[in-house]
Amino acid sequence: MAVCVAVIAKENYPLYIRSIPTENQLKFHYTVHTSLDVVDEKISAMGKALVDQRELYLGLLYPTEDYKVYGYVTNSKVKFVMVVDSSNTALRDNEIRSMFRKLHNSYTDVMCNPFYNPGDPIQSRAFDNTVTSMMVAAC
Amino acid sequence: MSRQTNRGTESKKMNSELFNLTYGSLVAQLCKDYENDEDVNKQLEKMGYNIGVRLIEDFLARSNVGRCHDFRETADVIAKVAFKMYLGITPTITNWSPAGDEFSLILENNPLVDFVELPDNHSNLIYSNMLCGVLRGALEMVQMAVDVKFAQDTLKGDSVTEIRMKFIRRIEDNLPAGEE
Amino acid sequence: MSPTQWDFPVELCCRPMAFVTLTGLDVTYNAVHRAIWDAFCANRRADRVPISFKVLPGDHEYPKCRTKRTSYEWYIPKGILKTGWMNKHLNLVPALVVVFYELDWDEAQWKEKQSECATRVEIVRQSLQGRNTKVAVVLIQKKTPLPPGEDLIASERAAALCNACDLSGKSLFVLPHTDHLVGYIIRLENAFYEHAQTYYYTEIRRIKSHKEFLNKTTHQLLFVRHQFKIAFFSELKQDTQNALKNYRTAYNLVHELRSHETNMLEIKTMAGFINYKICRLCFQHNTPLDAIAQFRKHIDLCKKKIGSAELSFEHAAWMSKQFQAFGDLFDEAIKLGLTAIQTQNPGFYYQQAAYYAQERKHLASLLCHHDLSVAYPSPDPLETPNGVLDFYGQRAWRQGILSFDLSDPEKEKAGILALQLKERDVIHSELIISLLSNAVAQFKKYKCPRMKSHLMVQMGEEYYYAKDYTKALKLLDYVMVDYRSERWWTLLTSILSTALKCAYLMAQLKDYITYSLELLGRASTLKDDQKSRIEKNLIMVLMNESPDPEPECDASTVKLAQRLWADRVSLAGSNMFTIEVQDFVPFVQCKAKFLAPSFHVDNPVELYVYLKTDCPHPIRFSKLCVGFSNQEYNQFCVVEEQYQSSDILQQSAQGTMCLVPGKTRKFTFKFVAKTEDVGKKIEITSVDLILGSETGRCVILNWRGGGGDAASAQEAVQAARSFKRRPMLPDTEVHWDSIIIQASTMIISRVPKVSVQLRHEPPALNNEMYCLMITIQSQEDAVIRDVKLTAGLKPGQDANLTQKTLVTLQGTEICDDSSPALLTDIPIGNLQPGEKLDMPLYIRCSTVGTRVFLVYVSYLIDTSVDGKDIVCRCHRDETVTIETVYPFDVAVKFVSIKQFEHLDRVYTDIPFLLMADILSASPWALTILSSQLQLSSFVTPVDELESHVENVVLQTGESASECFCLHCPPMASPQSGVATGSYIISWKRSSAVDNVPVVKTVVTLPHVMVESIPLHIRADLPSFGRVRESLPVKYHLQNKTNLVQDIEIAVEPSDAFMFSGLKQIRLQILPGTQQEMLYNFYPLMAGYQQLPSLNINVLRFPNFTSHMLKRFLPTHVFVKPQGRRVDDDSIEAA
Repeated sequence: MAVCVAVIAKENYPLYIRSIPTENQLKFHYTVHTSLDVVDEKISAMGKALVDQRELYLGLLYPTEDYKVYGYVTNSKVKFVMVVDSSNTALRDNEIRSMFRKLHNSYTDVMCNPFYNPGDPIQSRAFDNTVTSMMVAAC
Repeated sequence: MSRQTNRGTESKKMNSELFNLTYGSLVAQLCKDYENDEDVNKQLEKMGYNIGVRLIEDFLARSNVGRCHDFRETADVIAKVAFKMYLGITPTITNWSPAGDEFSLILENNPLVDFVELPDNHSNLIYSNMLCGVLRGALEMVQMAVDVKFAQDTLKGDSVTEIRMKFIRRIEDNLPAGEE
Repeated sequence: MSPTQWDFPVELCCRPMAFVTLTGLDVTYNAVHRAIWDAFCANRRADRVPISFKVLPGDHEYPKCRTKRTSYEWYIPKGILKTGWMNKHLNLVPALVVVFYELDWDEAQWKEKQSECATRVEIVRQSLQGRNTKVAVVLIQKKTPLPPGEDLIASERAAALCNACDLSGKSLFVLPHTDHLVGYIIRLENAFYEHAQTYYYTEIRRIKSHKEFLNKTTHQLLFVRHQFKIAFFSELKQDTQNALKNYRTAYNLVHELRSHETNMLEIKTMAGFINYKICRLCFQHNTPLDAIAQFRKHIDLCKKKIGSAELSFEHAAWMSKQFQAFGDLFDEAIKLGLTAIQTQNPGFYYQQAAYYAQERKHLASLLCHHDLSVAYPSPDPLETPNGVLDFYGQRAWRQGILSFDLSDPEKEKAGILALQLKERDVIHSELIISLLSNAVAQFKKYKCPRMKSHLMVQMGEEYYYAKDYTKALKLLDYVMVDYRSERWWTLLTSILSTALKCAYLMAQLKDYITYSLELLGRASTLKDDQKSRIEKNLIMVLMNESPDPEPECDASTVKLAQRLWADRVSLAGSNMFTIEVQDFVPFVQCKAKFLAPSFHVDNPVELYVYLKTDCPHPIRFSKLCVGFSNQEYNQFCVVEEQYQSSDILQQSAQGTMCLVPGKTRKFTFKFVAKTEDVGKKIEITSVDLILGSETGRCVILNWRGGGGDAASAQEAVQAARSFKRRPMLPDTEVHWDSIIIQASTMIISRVPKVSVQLRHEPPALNNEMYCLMITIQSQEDAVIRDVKLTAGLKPGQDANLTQKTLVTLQGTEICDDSSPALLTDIPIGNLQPGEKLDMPLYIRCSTVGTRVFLVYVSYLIDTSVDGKDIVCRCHRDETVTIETVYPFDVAVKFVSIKQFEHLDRVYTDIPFLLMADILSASPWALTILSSQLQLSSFVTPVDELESHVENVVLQTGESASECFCLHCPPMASPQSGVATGSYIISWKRSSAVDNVPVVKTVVTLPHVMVESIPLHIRADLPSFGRVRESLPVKYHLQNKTNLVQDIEIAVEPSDAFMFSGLKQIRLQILPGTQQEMLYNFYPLMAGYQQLPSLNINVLRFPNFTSHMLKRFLPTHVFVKPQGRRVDDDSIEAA
């Protein structure tokens, strides 16, 4: 399913990045980082429309040869980026959307943890588990 | 009159996230202010005690339960009425001691810890210790000295949360010395 | 770069244009021919027909046409497309051959010329035997031809010529070389174009006709070939729609071919060609999405067609080329007006091309690492008899062999080896870098800064692999800033690690140290063992030794680097580096703070510098110094420690400059501020921390301002939010997070020990000399010198106040406008301890309102700070707000003499009263010394003017009034409203001493309306009457005109009076005279009784009614009752 899941702070630094262990981690860091170009552009281009429609899902950010990169931005401008294997054509837009929603819920729970300091890297088992479920789920 | 109508058994609704964050930030601030977790636990228990000694008045007014005849009845009232009323859950009562002076409240779901994940360096923190204080304080006002403590905690990786309560003695209404 | 095997042939990439050859033109020696040729060549813009022209001699040999096959039954093709085919039809086999021939219709030797022309045509035809190429003849003529049909000879000869040359009339043209050459040429070439199109049309038909002879088993290749040719001819015919359609079919056919390792390259090559054509045409048709879709399909179909595993680098090279070519096409289309978007721009294709180029390099390194002893096979298996391949995409050593079985495995092996050895010589990095830089340019254009950075990192890494470390560092340095500012520490660490390798390999000391500093820092995501290694290396460098090589550098480069380092060591000397650490995240953090935002000059300035290291081992610094905006203080803030260079990492070292990781170290500095700096800001401009010794290598870590670095601001924010427990620290230590940089402080003057008291009696009265008593008392223990007073209106208020406020020290007379609003630096001299001094300040405010006054006392005193003697200037200031009010309210009005009626107008010559009421508005008693009326020329007093209020004292709210009798003399010219003059009151506060000057308050009197009347009447009567006693009344009528006045007078009877005298009379009054009328009234009733009224009618002035006159007359009189005698007497006695 997802090969990499990332949470990016409002200021665009990473709060959480996890990728499947079989691949080069650094590569995904770059993939996520570069995808922020498109996120920024989408937010600024249709910023208003997004707010109006309360649509947080940004859709496909860009496809590479091997991966598809999807984006999602919360109203607090925290971004979620998910990298999916390109060969995984069975994955529908709706499923991606619901994965993001799940991620968003889990992130909100993290924020509600009194011991979590907003802006710090996310080190939550519960969040980890959510992400794991997205990375291993057979598709 | 209005006071009575306000204190129905039906509870007012409250946002659970706000409740969680309120309790959570209290604990977190204590953690920052106190040198070690034992002190924090003590402080939480004390606060709970102060809540308990007041809350019992509200509880009795609201619930209309009568005097309990034995500790088993007390346990029932605590689990089925008090927990239900204030936390919206009904713990199960188990593990009675043979003497009938000690039992456990098993909380499948502790509403205080919905979002909580303990940081690694707080392994000794009893996050919900305030509950112990509340129970002790409340029972003290109805002439029961009890010992309350957490036996299991989902935050520590246990599958359920268990609060162990032990009856110690009845408190006689002591008159102040010299006024006999 | 010279074209490589993977580059598309030019004939594929060019735009195919109809090929037309021109013969019979001598462009070198014949000017006319030259002009014609130029007209064909010059200005070939888009509006000209697409033809490629070539001048050839008349006897040029065109490529021979093979005899056309009549049957395909036994024909087995050897490949898909011959390598020469496209070029042949673009540049060798013309669609039309034009024979130019100079011949005028009236040519004398017509016959001869005609047959020569026919011969030339025949020669061309011979050479083109078997081809469908058209031939046309153009006659170059000197004369302008007549309109068709008019020149009979011309038409006759033209027909004859056509006949002789076996030409249709449509293929014979006349070109007069006159002024309009270009116009003729354009008409000519349009005609050529039609011929060419016909030619290509026939060619397409011809190929199509072969189709029915083909069968699917043996002729699969031919299907592709024919389809390609049809498409290509369609392009030559400029029928791009059909070309596209046919290329698409060809593309599908290619993929239907049975593929095998042996023919994979050929299939991919052709697929690549056709795909290129399709994409190109799609862009040309402005359907970029079709192009992208085709390309994606192409890549998906071919991605897995790797072919021979031993030559898999070829596949990567081919893939790279596909992406690059598509990127080029895309970019070209954009230059022609297509708009691309951020997520779909050529950059992605270049990036992918670069990716495959990297892949190629990787595969090549795996497959081509043959030992140097392996010789290139001989004979060269890549050699072909004619130097080129017959068919695109075939192997040189088995051209035209269609069997999938390898007939000669040895040959195959040699061939593969040859290819591998060739690949080994390819400089892959160059290819990769050039593709990456193409991609960078694109992403820059489409607002993808991060993508750009990422590609630049890749370029940097590629330069690193290519051993061009300088370029690598340049790129990496550039992007580090971005990753640092966005706080992507993992990426930053990765880049820094590469950069450190570069710096190591070049033995670049400063860079090496800089990268080490950051890799040891808290932003670095390196593991501790790595950090530990780097720290040790750093120390070695500082100790003038060579560091250990970085991991993963290959042995040969390390060897070179070690030599470089050794050279550096032997050259050791002045090896001092200053590194500005503010903009990155070094392993040592610094925060400097002044203890207070301000210091009094007589207290020492104190500041702390906090340092903390994040590296794995304790480290020793040699010196810490702080720089200030006033550099004179720098000398006071230096800590230095001597130690053996080998001690730098001593674990046991507990010197002050040895920093233990994670522990905050505080350095305290103290200095005495200069008295000149009072009122100024002292700023920390830099903190320098020195690592290493000045004798060996030495690094100055320089922070601008009070410290902090690229990560500290955000860390402070996070720390403030954090609930994290802080460990207890002894009182002497502090938590790093809680330290706030305070890089500047103010030096303020010493606290003054002098009191300034102000005494006065507010409010101030308008225009008076208001006294503000200033008392200065020294409370110092020593004599204070150079005491100066500045007093007056506080600057910065309403500018008008400055004009309307005067201050002076002289209170004995009213000051004039020359006095200033503020007296500055009045010298007072010295004051002994405890001495007290009174200074009165006189303020004159000429407007009312609120003013703020400033009293500022400054002095010098000798004192000492920290055993250092200084002279301080101290000052104390006081401000006071003073309200100014009017001393009086003066009301002036005009009233009539009789009845004191208020007058809004007065009459010439008739006296009236001026009443002045002075109401004190001052809270203090005022003494009016005198009052004075200054009348204008329009008004004169009736009697002597004298003040009635002299020396009157008015308490608050009391008022004084006085009255003056005035009249207006006749005026020369009549005027309605006239100024009457002014009223001046001279006064002072009752409490004021004698020498306080008198204040004069001037009140301007109101204007009055003056009118003249024709007749004035006045009555003389006693002040009271008595019942039944006669009351004589005399009326005076005065004629105020120059005319004789006729007047009727009638007395109306009254109930209260009887009277004697003329009841009704008509009389005349001479000008300027007066007439008296005497009546005796006899009161009948007591009390305030109405007098009988007098009705007067001035006949000459009918408007002047008795009503108006009546105002001069009394209407009532008081009548006493008739008393008893006794009472009368008693009254009279009283």
